[in-house]
Amino acid sequence: MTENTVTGTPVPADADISAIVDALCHVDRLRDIAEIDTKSPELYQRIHDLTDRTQERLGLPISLVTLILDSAQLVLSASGLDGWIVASNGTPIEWSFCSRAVASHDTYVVPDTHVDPIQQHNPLVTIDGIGAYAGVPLRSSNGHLVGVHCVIDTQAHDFSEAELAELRRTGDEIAAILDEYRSGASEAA
Amino acid sequence: MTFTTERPSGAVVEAYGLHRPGADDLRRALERIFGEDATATWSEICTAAGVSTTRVDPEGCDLIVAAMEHHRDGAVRLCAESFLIRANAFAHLYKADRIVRSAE
Repeated sequence: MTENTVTGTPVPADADISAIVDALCHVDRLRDIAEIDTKSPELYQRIHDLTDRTQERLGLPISLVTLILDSAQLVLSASGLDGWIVASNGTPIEWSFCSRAVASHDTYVVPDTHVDPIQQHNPLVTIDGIGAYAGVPLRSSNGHLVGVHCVIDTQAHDFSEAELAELRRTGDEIAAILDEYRSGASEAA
Repeated sequence: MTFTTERPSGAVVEAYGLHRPGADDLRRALERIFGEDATATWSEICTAAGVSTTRVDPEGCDLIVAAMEHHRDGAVRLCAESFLIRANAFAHLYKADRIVRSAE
């Protein structure tokens, strides 16, 4: 894998899943994620307040914060979601919409999953009912893309620039909070 | 978590296309992350877990995951966390299958 930035080379969001996984397996990115104290109740509450806020401001049924690991996505906070995904703490990476935002280093938007060539056969669409998705990558202070803040609708949804701007603003807040919960963060402050 | 040797089957699991993760998946994940260094890392983890590097039964897989969860390298710990998410997802979907079949 060649690299030209600290987070590795972006791959297109519509790339084959094997290329997406390769992009996610950058060892320094994974070590950066591992420094976050994801078990902190205080971190959970602060992040959950923001997923609640995004859910309310955008008026959409589901808002998440995920951390994108090597072969799975970890759901750090979920507003409006329950069932097996929450019970499992996440999903396998091959079904993850968020992984494509991290791998491509860019906002990933799917206004209508049922006509999207990449996602229309995804079981999260065909079985679990995701109708539309928008997610923004979360960049750590070390320069790595560690996760995603996203919203999900159960039907098709054309995301406006104002909605995406709100998602990005909140994503920046979330990334800053995650940085506060790194091992050694309080000593460095 | 204990990984049983029961063969997975059923409409729900098949619809999702997910297989029960095992030791081979762990080793492949380490190879994607560490490249050529994965062999030494795998050997070290298996030694710490007290299992063979070549043939790992489901109980041995549990021990390997436990060893990875306490590894000094955060990337290895994260690899174990990924594995557990995949295993939990499989377990929940497999359970749904059993409920569907018992209702038939």
